Amino acid sequence: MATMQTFDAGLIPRPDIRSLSSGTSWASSLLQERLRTILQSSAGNIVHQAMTSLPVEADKMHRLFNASAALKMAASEVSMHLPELWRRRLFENIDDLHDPDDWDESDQLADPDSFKTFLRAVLHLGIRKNMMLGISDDGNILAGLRRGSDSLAFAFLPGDRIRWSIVEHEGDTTNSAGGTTSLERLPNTLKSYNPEAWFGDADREPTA
Amino acid sequence: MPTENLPLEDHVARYVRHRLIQFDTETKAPVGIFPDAFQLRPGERDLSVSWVEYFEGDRKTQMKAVAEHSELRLGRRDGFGVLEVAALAGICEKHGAKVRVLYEPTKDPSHSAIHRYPRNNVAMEAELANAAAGDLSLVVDIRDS
Amino acid sequence: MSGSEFDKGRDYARPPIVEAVIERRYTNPIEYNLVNRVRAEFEDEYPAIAQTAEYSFAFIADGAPPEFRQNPLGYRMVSRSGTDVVLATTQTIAFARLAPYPGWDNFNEAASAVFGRARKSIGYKPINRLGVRYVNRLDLPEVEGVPLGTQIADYLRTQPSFSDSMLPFMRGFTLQFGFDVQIPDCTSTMTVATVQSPVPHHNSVLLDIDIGRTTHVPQMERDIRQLLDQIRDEKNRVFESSITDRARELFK
Repeated sequence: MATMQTFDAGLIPRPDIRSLSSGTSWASSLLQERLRTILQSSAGNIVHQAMTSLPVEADKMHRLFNASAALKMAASEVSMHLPELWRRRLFENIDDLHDPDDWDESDQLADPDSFKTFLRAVLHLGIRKNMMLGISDDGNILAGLRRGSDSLAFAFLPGDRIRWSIVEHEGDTTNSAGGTTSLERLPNTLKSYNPEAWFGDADREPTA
Repeated sequence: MPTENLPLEDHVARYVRHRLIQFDTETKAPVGIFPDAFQLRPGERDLSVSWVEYFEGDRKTQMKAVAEHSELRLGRRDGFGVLEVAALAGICEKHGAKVRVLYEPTKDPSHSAIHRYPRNNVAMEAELANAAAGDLSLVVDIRDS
Repeated sequence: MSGSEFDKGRDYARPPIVEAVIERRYTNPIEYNLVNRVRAEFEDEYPAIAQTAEYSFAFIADGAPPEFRQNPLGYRMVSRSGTDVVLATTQTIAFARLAPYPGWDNFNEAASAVFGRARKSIGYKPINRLGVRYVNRLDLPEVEGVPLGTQIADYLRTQPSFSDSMLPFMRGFTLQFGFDVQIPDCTSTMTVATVQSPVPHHNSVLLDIDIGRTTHVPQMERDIRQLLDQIRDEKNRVFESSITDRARELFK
């Protein structure tokens, strides 16, 4: 890849980078940025250029629109790996969780990086159509499963980190455990807690 | 004002925001509470709860009063999870925390606080949430009851 | 290539299309107040709105501090469904559909409707480029012991070539090239690039195909749609000729 130094010195010609039709996805933005980096040249007296998008409205309603759109666009990136009905229910959940009546102006919105960990976890562990979703006060996506009075809950943190907890009842005894681990290690971490009972009937193609 | 420990046989109600309530994906009924509802927020030292038996009457009447006197902005789809004080203290002790549930009125006359409540005890928070989910009511249902 | 080759793409259950875009570029930039009119036309159905702007640092003279320039261009508006996007700027109007891809007919109809409404709100503006862009992402299951370069060669026919000694150590690449296509006055730009995969235990490659015309650009809607249909067929031909049968298995 050409460097600023080689451009400055005029040692190599400007690369023939072509202008493309607009793009809006994460993928097209990534390509745009990569190609722009190659193109930057001090010969044109421009040392840094960037295209950026910033939300225009600061009011709660529009912040929520933008936040829910960001999550849907992230889900869209992997939608070819998700059953259509499950994806649609996910989008309904996202809308429900972003109802303006449930949010204060000062609330922290859902963290897109947390949502990406959630999506990767779904792809890695399998889909459960009865997975219930939430958003924590610090913007982390939450998912919960129940079997009778037993509960399994996850908080998805950025960077493929997951905070998990489980509560199981055995007669009069209640057992609970929890911790934080990586997505990679989660199946191993849950081995002691009968994960087949929670994920064994993971739905690849949920019924309508 | 002398410190007042809540009686062990009484109950406390923990406010739970809508997005921390688990709703059944088919029936849409509230069926659970995320453990995050029982986490201390940054800067918080004690966990806030409402003393249910501060108010007179049957449970419905008491919960109505809890909602009416709350200083928080309550959304229709928010809720309260109720726990017996003894059960709450027992769960915390099981996880290494000898908490004290103290009556500390503010503008909300039923306001109480759980002292010595540990931070980031994930298993304890999960067990409290699981127990409170057994007696979970939405604000809309509390107000309409 | 025979018609049957590019018909293959029409039956994929899980097409790898991440984004499909139809763009019309104005011959002359339009006033920003007209861009605001387009925004007003769509903001009810596309309420997630972000302003797009171009930022640059420029050195003006030796010794002088660099000048920061901000040039607002327009808006990116996302629909309530989260899958449709309208890009309205001083230079272009574009409609994008994010995955899942609904098929050409559905996509083209939706785009036409958007362009029609935009045209009504600001009047006819001549265009000097009509472009169609498809960004595909192939998610390749990781295979232990198989270097990335070798793996990619099993799925793609269009890729950079590495020496045997370097292939095992290749970490990633971005390749872009232009070529003429089988439609008069149209050219294509293809970008092939490795990216971090959003799918655990996969390697991903983007296959970005952009086909456009900048001379003899039709201005009448009927002619534009005819050209778009031709571009779409050509895009399919280019795509199908760039992938292997093993890649096709990923999309079933």
